[in-house]
This record gives sequence, C-alpha cells and structure tokens, in this order.
Amino acid sequence: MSEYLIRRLALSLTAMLGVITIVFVLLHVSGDPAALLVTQNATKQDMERIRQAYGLDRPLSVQYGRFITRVARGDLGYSYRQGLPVIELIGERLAATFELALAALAVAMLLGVALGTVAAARRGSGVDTAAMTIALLGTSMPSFWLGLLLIIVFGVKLGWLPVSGYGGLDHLVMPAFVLGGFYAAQVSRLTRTSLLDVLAQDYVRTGRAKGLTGRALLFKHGLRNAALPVLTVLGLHFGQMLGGALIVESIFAWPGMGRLAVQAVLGRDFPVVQGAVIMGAAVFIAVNLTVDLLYGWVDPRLRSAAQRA
Amino acid sequence: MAGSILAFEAPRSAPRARRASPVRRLLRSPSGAVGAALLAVLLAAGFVGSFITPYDPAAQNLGLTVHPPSLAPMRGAAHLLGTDQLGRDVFSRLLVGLRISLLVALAVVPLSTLVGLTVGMVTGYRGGWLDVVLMRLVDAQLSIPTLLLTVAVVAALGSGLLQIVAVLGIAGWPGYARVVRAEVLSLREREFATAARAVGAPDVRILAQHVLPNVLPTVLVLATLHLPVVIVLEAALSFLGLGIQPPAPSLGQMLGYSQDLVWQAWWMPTIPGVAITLVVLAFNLLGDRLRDVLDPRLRGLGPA
Amino acid sequence: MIVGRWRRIVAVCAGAGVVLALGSAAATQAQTSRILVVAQSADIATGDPAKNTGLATIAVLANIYDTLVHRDAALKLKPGLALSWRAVDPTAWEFKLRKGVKFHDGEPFNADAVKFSFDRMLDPKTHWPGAGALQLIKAVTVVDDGTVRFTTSQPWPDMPRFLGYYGMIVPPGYLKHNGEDALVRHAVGTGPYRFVRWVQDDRVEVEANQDYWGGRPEIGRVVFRVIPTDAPRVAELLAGSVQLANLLPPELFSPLQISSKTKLVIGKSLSVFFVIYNLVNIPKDKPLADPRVRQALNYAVDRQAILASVMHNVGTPVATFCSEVMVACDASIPSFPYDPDRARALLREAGYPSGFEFTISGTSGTYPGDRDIVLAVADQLSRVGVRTKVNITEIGVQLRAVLDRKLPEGGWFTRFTDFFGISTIIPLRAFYSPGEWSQWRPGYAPFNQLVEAAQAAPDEAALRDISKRLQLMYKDQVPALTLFTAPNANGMGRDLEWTPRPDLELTMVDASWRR
Repeated sequence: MSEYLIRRLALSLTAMLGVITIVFVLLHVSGDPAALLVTQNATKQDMERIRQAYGLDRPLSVQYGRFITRVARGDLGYSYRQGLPVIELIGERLAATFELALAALAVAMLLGVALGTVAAARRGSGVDTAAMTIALLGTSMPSFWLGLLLIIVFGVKLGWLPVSGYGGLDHLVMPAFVLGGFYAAQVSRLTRTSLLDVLAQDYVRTGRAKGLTGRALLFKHGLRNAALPVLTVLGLHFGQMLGGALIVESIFAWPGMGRLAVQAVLGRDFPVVQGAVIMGAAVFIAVNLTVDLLYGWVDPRLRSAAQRA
Repeated sequence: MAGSILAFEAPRSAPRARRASPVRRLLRSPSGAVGAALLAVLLAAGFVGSFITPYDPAAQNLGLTVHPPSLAPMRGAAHLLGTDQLGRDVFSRLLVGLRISLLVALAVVPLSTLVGLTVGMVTGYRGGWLDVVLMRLVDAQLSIPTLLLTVAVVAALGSGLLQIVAVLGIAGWPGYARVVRAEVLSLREREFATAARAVGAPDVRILAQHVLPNVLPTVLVLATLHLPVVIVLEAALSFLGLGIQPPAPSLGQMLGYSQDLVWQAWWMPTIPGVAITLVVLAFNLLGDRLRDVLDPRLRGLGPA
Repeated sequence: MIVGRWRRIVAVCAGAGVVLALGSAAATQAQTSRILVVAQSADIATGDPAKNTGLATIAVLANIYDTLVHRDAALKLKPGLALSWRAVDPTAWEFKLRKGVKFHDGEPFNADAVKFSFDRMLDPKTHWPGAGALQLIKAVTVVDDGTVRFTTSQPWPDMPRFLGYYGMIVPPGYLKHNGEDALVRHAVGTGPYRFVRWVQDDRVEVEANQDYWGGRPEIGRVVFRVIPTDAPRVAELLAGSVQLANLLPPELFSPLQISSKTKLVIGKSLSVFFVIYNLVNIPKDKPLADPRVRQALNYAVDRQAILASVMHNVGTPVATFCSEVMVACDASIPSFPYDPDRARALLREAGYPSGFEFTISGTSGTYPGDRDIVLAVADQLSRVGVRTKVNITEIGVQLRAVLDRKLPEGGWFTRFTDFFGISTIIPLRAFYSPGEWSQWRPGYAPFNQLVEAAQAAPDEAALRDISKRLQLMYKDQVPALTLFTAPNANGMGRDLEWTPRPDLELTMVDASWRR
C-alpha cells in the first residue's frame, strides 16, 4: 500500500512540476515577459525593476530554476493592477470557488444518479426516454445559455431566487445547478448504462424475477458496482468544474477564483492568470490523488491494476 | 430494439470483424440517423447557406434596430430572425457565425488529432525516456482545467481566429495521446506486430501499416466527441470576450453581446443559444452511436 | 354638556395626533434603518484615496472622506471641510477650516491634517495618479489651527474648483499609529458615512456617521456591491435586491422603464465620446495630416442616427469638446451636421477621391454603448469611402497603446470626463500636446498656448473668451472626431430619491426614501 502511495505521490509531484513548466513557457512565449507582468501605466523604470526582481535578463535555465523555487515557496508573483501578492488574492477567493464546486458536485451526483436510476428502472418506457432526452440536452446546452435561461425564469420572472452575488444558500442554488447540470446529465447516462450492465448480468445469472424485493436488492447491488466508474468520472469532473467555474462565476458575479482569472485575462494581469493556473492544477492533482488513494484503499484489485499501468 | 431514438444497447464484446459496415450500422439506428441528418443540415447552412445570405451580415440599418423575427416585409425585405442592435440581419449573421464555429472546430480537431496521434503512437510503441517525459507532460496538461488553460494561453497570445485555433488545438492533444498510447501498448504485443518485427520490418512501416489502421477507429470516435467540445470552448471564449472579435460574428459572441437584451428581445440570446445546442447535439448523437458501433470500450469517456 | 363633547373631541384628536406622530416616527425609524444597496460594475481598488483615482473607487470613497470644497448636484462650489477661501495674492490661496470636526476614529480635523494629506498626496513616492492635476501646488503651509495656505507655482484662479473633486483629507494620527498602508483596508475619514467592512470583489459596507458636521444622513446604512456585468445588475434592480445601479448601457434602459418597481434616471453628463485621431508625428503625406480630411470624417458621421438607435436617445451631439454643463462652454458654436456629400467633396479636394484605410481602436463593455458606437461609426465612414477596420481590445491594452503611442493609423475611441466641470479640462487632458494621453504631437502651437492660458485665466470672463477661441480653433484643426455626450444613466428603485451627479460620485448623503 505504501508503495502505491509513494508512486501516486511521485506522479502527482511530477505533474505539478509539468504544470509549472507549462506556465513558465506561456510566460515567455509572448516574447517580453516583463510586459506581461506589469500594468498599463508602467514606465520603463518599472519594467526594468521587474526585470531585475524576476531575473529576466538571466539565461532561461536560471530563470526556470528560480521560478520553480519561488512557486514551491508559495510566491506566485505580484499583481501590479491590484497591488497585492497573487497568492493572497487567490486565497481570498478559493473558498468561494470550493463552495460552488462542491455544491455543483452534489447536484451532479444526486440529480445524476437519481435520473439515471429512474431511467434504468423504467428502461424503454416514456420515463426513460424523457430522462435521457433531458440528459442529452444537458450535455449539449452550453452552460452560459443555461445560466441565462435560469436567471430569466427563476430570478426575474418568478423572483424565487437571487440573481447574482454571494450569500446564503439561495444564492448558491442557481450557480451550483448551472455548473453541476452538465455533469449531472453525464452522470445520469453513465449510471443508467452501468446499472443496465450489472442488472443484465445478474438477471441472466439468477434467471428469475423475484418481484419488487428482488429488484430492490439488484438495484442496491447494481448501484454499488455502478458507483465505482461513476466516482472515477466525478473525480475527473471536479477538475473540469474548476474550469467551468470561470463562466458560472462570471455570469452570477460569484466572487471566486474563476471570476478573478477571467477579469485578470481581460485586464492583462498575467501574474494572477499564472497563479490561477498553478492553483487550479494543484487542486485538481490533490483531488485526483485523494480519489486514487481512496480507491486503492477501497478496492485492492484496482490498486494492483493501477500499479501495472 | 425499442422504438425510442435513445435506446442505448448493453455492451456486447462481439469481435469487430465480420459485421455490416460501420456507416450502415451508424445510420440504421434512430439516434445516429437524426444526428447525421441534423449535422448535414447544419453543414449545409454553415458552408453553403452562409454564402448566399439574404443580407450582408455586416450591413447596418440604424433605423431598424432590435426588430423581432418576422416574415412580413418591412422597409425592404423580411428579417426572418429579426435584427440586432445595429440593424443587422440576425439570420445572416447566424449562418456566418455557424460557418466560423464549424471552421474553428474542423481546423482544431485535425490539429489536435495529428499531434496527439503522433505522440501517442511514438511513445506507445517506442517507450523509453521519451515516453516518460511526454506522458508526464500529458499528465501535467490534463491537470489544468481546459477552460482555464485556454484562457491563460489567450492571455499570453491574444485573441483572434488564428490564435483561437492554435490555443484550442494545443488544449486538445493530450486526450488523444493518452488513449492512443494505451491502444498502441496493447497492439504492440499482438501477433502481426511481433511477426513483422521478427521479419525485420522498420518501426515506421509497422506503425503505418499495422498499428495505425487499428488505432484509427478509436481516434475517429475521439475526434467526433472532441468536435462538440471545441464548439462549446470557442463559444465560451467568445462569450467571455476572449474569442472571435467583432465585426466577425461567432455564435458565442452573439450570445454574449445580446445577454443585455434578454428583457426586450428574448429571442436575441436564445437564437444563438439554440444554434450552439443543435450543433453540439448533432455531434453528440453521432459520436455516441459511432462509439457504440466502433469501440464500446470507450464508453464512460463521454464529452470531456 | 358642550364642554364634555369638546373634551371628547379634543381627546380623540389628541389621541389621533399622538398615534400619527408615533406612527410617522416609527416609519422614519424604519426608513432610516432600511439598507440601501448600490451596485457598481467594479470594486474599489483601495480604501486609501492617495493610492487610486479610479471612478469606482472615488465614487464610494466620497462618502467616507471629505474634500475642502464641496460641490452640489449642479457642481456649484460650497463649503466642505473649508468654510471659506480667498486668494491672498495671485499665487496663494488661504482656506479657513471648519471647526469641531472629528475623523471617524475620534481624532480632530485641523490644518495639520490638511497639510499632511496634501503633502502625502503630492509626494512622488506615494504614486498618487491625480498628482498631475494638482501639480501647480508648490507648498501647503499651516497658518494656524484653522487656516491653511496653498502656494502655487503660477496663478491658479480655478484651484478651489479642483479641490472640489480631488484632495480627500486623511487622518494623520491614524496613519502614524497603524502604518502607512492602514487606510487601504480600512478607510477612516470625516465623511457622512463611516467604513464598516470591505469584502473584496463583493461589497463595501458603510453606516451613517451620527456626528457628521453636515447633519446625519437620512439613510442609515449603505452597501456598495460589485456586479461586473450589466444584465445581472439590472436583474437585481428589477428583483428589488439592489436599489441603485449606475452607468447603465442603453440596451438595458427599457426593462427599467417598463417595470413599475424601477425608474431610469438620466443625470447630467460631463463626459464626451470621441474618436481621437492618431496624429503623433504624422507624415505630411498621410490622409489625416490634412485638416480637410479630419473635417470630412466629422461630416460623414450621422450622430443623430446613432443617438436615436444605439443610445436610445440619451445624449446630445457635441460640437467640439464641451457640453453646456461645463463652465465657460460656448453653446453657440454648432456641431458638424451629417453631410456625407460634403465629406466626399472634402476628401476629393484633399486628394483622396477613392478614400483611404482607417482603423478605429475601440473597447467593448468599458463605456456604455462603446462597441456598437464604434461599429456604427466605422460603417458610416466606410460609406464615404474611408475603409474602416475596427480593432476591439480590452481597455488596459488600448490605453497601453495610447500611452506608448503605438496606435495603428486611424483613431481611438474613448470617453473623456471633465470631473472638474470646466470646459477647458478636456482639451488639457486629451489634446494638449505635452499631456500624457495626447496623440496630437507636435500638435498646433497656438492651441497649446491657449490651453496654458486657460489654466491661468484670472476670472470667468477671461476663461469664457479663451474657451471660445479654443473651440473655434478646434473646429478648424479638428484633432478628433467628436461624437456626443456619454450617458449618465442610472437605474433606481421607484421609492429612492437621489439625484445623479455629473461627476459620477455615488454620494448618498442626500439620498432618501420617498414616503
């Protein structure tokens, strides 16, 4: 088990290193990193100061090394636009994004599994078709359009929910639904298929319908087995949700990391963008690591399979 | 088989050889047929319709701004889907926007596929330190949420048609590389490959003649599933103001610019929203069926 | 008997009177305890007025800090922290300060605080962005506890007007005690509202200063929220969770006008939209080097059509660079009419019968209607043969190109606001060749000289004369395509009484709820 742990940890660290490298490349691909790191009011002296401070006149390999050590120390740079260290700006907003992502995950799981289970239970019926149509539409509709529609219907026309901002549970409902909706649709289709798989096998094996009790038992057994692939997918989705948060936070004025990143890109505040990428990747890697470890602990078969890969 | 167009079959690990041609099987299913038909309509609209638009998409008419859809002629001819804030014909702009979105998707996907396929084949077949380094790079890039990555690259490179294609192409390749590599790893040990190596065939020949044809179906499925992702990503970037810049229209851009009109002209953000959804739907339907037909093992990958 | 009945009537009336009095007192209590939520599209950048002069920052900080001179909604000067002021000689102003004023932390306001605030603001190390506007101030000296003297490097008759917008007074004791950056996160001033809390990117909360020298404001608590996109801001207005949203774009006017719960209030505007020509060291053979070409473009634009469609009829065409709200603006000078034939004729005369290429650098979402205005102007220019390309970038990128003087051949679309209310300010900021934003270099010497003369104009009559000459010269030399006034459009809850200010400050001290 510890071998597995060390292996996964090492992979995570190399992934993180890779991310930092990608960011480093991005910073230099435009030609003049100093121009990216300052605000539009910067004078030539300001740019010189930046060049000195970040050692941008040194050879690339030296810069690379210094970049890695800085990030490892937690120094993600300084936003000249806002006049604050990037890590502070992100730190203040991380909690809000987490709240949103977790709520979206909950929506995805609950709604998705429920929808998928209902569809599998009534396979081939009108309910199944309806559920899967909704799911298909859910994966096809862009989140920004869904968000707009919900704002009009629930926010303006019906007035049931606040339209934007950060506050209590009612402020969380629409953003979480918009962010989680896409994944709910995916999870529902996946749940349905996995359940049908499992059901088909068990059905063939036992060879007799035991009635409602039997179906309920099969479902419990089915759900447990279907849970594993669903969980993997959710782990992957959490990371993608951090990306989707960029749009949802912008539409709903949610003060999270995603909105910070969008505003930073629009405002050419590259240190913040850089910090957001590193932070987003760090969270993704950490979540995946946790999910993998949980797996390895829960299902030894997967552990050895993973080791062989 | 249920009459519903959405009946998904349980998996059957039938051997791939000795079945009806994939295209026939694809079109035989209701969902595949609908998807193909929808795609055909959209492609026609985007690549033919957009050149014969009723109006010049850039022609402004400040006397007739934000007019609702109408078949009745007003001051000239009818505006099927109404006019926008500058009096431009929405229908014409929609067609051109559709063309641009499709063009971006059809440019990005081959780009990602090419890079991903090459990397996947080389690393899967050769292994070694190249494999280790490139796969770590793949891991790293896949750890960055896609939209966040594209937004960061736009920050570094700027926005505009060429940059968007480059950005989205860069964002897409790791997914292919990983899957192709896994395929190649298993194919490497199959009889035809070991036999060819024993005979002394060069690696390139083996890759081209034996490995590639077996990997292509998977890649095709991935590509079809990747297309809607690119459509939505481009729309998202344009929606945020980071993608295609005016005056060139784009579906995401039209949606973004008309959100403010949602109260007095609800059709204005709705029309591009519906258009995007239809394009994505078409690709999703086709991609799903294609996946079931060609390679059921890929189920669970879904649109990324 | 009569006495008894009268007594009863009196008793009933008295009772009713008591009930009414209590009732209205309760109502007033309830009204002042009702929170006012204001939604801006940007957050404040800092709580320290010496660190930033952004619109969103000043709009909020104007509630917490006071300046020496105040301006009413019509921009007339009134006593602020200073009761009176006079020029003791051409280069010295003396301000008599208000007595008994305290900062929110309890420390007293006096001449030392004024000197401290201005010294700090004008210290190059502070990097105060507004320092340029006050650069004529040479020294600030304390005459006595209640009197301050400003010495200027040259005569500056308009100084009090400038001190009506710039020069927020900060508490020296608080800063000395808590460090130089103490105000950034926790603003402390003398203003009608005291700072309560700042949740970054979300809101700033303030509460009424019970001891405000100008009288306690009626609305007890104000929250300035940040809602970056306009549609959600309006949605919240319609839903009632926000009662004031400023600087709204024209697309969002109608839902507010239709709803019975909201109203659209258009304030006077001190802002003008221009497409400013890039004339930096322009070679003589380029189209824009010829004033006839620059005039031709002005004739090619149909301002009324754009105002009627894109701007929903809010705004008026501007002839040169000032609107009638600004002091000394000559309203008799006519604006360029829409005359595409005249435009084509001028172009032919200048030697461009088949037009030329032109690029407008514009923005989207920064100013109300910006993107659509630029696209409409580009279209109209193209119709007279000037093939116009539009380059939409983010505001920071555009401003960087402007400051670096790296704009493409053509012009940049922008809005200049004259926060001081004087017609000669926009020429100073936008067209005066040594100015940092100016794209008119080396420019036209007589124009620059007039601008400098305006600064030192001894009285309003002289200022009017200079301003008129500047305006006529502008119409001759045409350094820009002047468009029209930019809207100051505010969405408000129907029961909120508040007058939008031309200087775009969101001071709520005079706001009240309609009974």
